[in-house]
Amino acid sequence: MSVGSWEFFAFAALVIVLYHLYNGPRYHLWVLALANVLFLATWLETPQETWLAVGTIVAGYAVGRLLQDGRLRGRVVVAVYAAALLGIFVYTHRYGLALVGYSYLMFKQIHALIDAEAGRLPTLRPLAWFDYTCGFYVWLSGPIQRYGDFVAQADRDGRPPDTGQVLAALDRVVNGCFKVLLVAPWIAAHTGPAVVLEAPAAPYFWGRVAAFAFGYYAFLYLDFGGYCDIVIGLAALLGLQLPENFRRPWLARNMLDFWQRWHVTLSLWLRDYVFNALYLALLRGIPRGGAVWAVLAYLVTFDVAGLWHGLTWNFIGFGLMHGVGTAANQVGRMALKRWLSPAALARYQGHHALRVPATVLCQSYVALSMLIFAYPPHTLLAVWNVARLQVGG
Amino acid sequence: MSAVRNLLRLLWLACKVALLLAVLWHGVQAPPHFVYQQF
Repeated sequence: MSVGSWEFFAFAALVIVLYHLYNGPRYHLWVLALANVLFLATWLETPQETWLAVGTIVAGYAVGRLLQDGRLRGRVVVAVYAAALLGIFVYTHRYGLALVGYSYLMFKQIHALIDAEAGRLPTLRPLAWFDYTCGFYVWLSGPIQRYGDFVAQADRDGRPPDTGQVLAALDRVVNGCFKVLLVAPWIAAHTGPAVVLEAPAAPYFWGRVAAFAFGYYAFLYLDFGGYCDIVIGLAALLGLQLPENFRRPWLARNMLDFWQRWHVTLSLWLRDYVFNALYLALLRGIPRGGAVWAVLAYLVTFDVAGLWHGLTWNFIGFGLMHGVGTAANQVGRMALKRWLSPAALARYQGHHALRVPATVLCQSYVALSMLIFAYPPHTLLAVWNVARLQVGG
Repeated sequence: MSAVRNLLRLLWLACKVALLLAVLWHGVQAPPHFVYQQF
């Protein structure tokens, strides 16, 4: 059952009505659990997939509780468990057995177990754990909520949202539908490489090149952002507030700014559990290499982010571009802090004449990385050659 | 005042849903549905 399908909306409507028939945290958790089981049943096609999902959810809960009870100790336990999850992820990808939604299940479990081990999490409860890890509205592509946030909301008295909130949530769902069902497919259909390759002599050549260059970025934003609008709106109708995933990424003026606006929950996850972990470990090893370690940590973090999408060269290229972009951004930021006074730095950062070209440059870099993400090298090379011939001719 | 405002919002929402359904009804191509990583 895809988000955006008629079946999904009918199912979600039924769940929302059932959810608000009675007001009580336990009742709400049970309704969500029932909805999650039914939703997952539409995605789990083989016994192997079912065992993989059930096994991962149960094992995550067991390890988390053992860590919280003190019967298992140490970060090494979490590291071994995370490595096992990653191993399953890579193995199932490699042999075409990948379970849809598994990577988001993995992100949530790794977060929960790291925080459980550090004593930062409320005691795990089976029903809340199941609803947290398998929420039907976030199973496919997030946003990645944190366990403490989910439980705090689930334990509240979930009074139905008032009329204004219902209208705002419905408006968000409808806006998401426009993006996912109309605008994104239209962009996908009209900005592929064919617009450049199939009619190089047609008018508005450079306009079509620009449409191709920014098309996939726009498509991805509208498709993923629209999906997030739908699920955040539906969750709001249940009285649950999901974290935002997109904050106008097209306004980002540099790569660090971009990652505070694009897929924000993944970005925060990467910051907390990859970047910070690696940077602090490197600093503990050699305390004097702060700047170098920060650059290295950015490179590794975004390569991890690239590889998470798949083990192919285009995803490696995508990760490398974002790793280099953020690392260069960090180096520039440190240099400016060293050279400029705080007042001069504030003037520089707020200067409109600099902000516009910086934003155009950043957006172009991101759009290029998205092309590398989406298309094989020979397609990009073909477009490049056609454009070069136009310049030459 | 709030009731009038909500009524106007509801009307606006109904117009948007009607437009969406009308366009979908007249056959826009099937959505590509998350061609990026979904696992």
